[in-house]
Amino acid sequence: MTQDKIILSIETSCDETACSIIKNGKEILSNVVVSQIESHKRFGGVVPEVASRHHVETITLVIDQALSEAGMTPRELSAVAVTEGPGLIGALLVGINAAKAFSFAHDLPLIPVHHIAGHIYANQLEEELEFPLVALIVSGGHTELIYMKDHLSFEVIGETRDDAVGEAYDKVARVIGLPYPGGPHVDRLSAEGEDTFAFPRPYLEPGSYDFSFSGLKSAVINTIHNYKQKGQEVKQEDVARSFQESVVDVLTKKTMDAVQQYEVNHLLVAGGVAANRGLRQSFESSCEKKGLKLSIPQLKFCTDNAAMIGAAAYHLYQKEHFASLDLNGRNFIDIESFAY
Amino acid sequence: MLSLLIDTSNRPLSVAINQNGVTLAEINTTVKKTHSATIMDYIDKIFKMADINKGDIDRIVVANGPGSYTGVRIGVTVAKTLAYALDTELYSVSSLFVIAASSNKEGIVTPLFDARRGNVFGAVYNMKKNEFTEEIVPAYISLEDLKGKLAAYDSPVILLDAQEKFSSSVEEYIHTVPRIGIVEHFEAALVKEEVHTLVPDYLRVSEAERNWMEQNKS
Repeated sequence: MTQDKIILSIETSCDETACSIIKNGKEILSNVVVSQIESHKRFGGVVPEVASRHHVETITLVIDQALSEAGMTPRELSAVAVTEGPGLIGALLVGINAAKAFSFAHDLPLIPVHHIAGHIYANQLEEELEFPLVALIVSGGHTELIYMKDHLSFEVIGETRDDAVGEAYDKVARVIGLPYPGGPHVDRLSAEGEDTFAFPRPYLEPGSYDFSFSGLKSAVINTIHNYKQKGQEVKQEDVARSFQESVVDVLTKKTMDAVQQYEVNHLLVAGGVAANRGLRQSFESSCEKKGLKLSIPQLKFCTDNAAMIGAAAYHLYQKEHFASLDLNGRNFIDIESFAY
Repeated sequence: MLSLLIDTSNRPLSVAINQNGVTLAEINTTVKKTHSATIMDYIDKIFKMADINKGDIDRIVVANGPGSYTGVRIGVTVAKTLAYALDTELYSVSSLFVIAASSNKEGIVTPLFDARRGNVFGAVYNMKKNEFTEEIVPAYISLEDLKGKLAAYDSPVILLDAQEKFSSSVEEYIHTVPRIGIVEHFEAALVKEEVHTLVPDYLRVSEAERNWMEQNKS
């Protein structure tokens, strides 16, 4: 019988201070997330220095709460995991230094985790991953299509060439006059509108799995400006619906093409934008038609959290992918090579 | 009593283990390396050098600013997490006082850190053997204003870490490398802290918040 692996994980790559305790990569013993969103709203986006300041305010509190909610003592832990990157460097450094200090104090192995690997493994908290698989990561900082033939094997088959999809959502939301963060508001309005504007679908060159949302974003902004100049009123709901339809069409088409070409058994969608209802519905119907297994985590595992870091860390533990005390944060890490 | 002391406020880094106020082991550097990568490694090293078990530490003392925002945060994060995990007491000390104490000077001393655009983080202390008075509390101030205030004192000595960009605008200064272990000679400089509430003393709100407050002045 193999011994249970209980990992305390920390995530501070952007504006959530999070700590979680996960057993064997899937059983959640605790999952504490302190969101800073209320503080960043006034700036219309996440301010790195402000995010770093909030992380240091709450870091030991979230660790303490994660342990007490799990009813665990540090002695019962197998390892400490932490997001190494990518992310805001100053924000990452708070989590990394806390993780190093904690692992040093309790003589625990330290596992550095790639943030995107975390988002992918968020799905493992709800069901087993079936390989080979394709994962679509959509968030405020990332838009990537990743092929995995096995655990910890990541091949980036497509990525955004400019804006991340969540970034495009936030900018469009701002132009229509919606508060930050705009994604959920656009999604909500979109349900009440019609696709009347026929914005472009940026498919790029045939066969490419890359994405580009800056042209679409500009098309939306220009349209709104044109209406305003003519003194005409734009129907917010229709702009939201038209923009969302374009985004969802492109994400769905490219992802389903990849699923077909790579002959996968499982499609994962993850990241904050995976909470988008329009996107969920589109993938649910496409996968149902194909008879393909689809996993989209529930909302709390789509946005940044530490449980997903613990889920990925479990496999890294098996591989003994440990860091020494000189671990540093990195704002960019190649996911294809990080676990090797 | 065993103490672990940490200062990563600026480019220099200083860590020490003291026994009853006497330094058993210390590492002090002024090289341009990322504190985030070196701090825990150096702490591990001084425990080995001093031959002390980490579980035997009674208190942790951290320089909690002012200084580089990121630098101060690294020291404070490590200090509060270690104090939490090792269940020790936690104390803070002004990063400017660390310089004052490290200078081994008596009389009026003025440690300064660069705060950009002609401004500094500075304080004025009257240092005596094992005691001191705080003449001007740590502040974010223009270098010119501070020079004006210094005129009131008898032969004040300016302390810089020698890499400060404004060293050419100061007529005379003494190069002082922080040695955090020395602050335990001045118990009155240490402030008892709670682990979960300790935050850096940045002495400045962030630029984004400044701009926001400016725009939202009613």
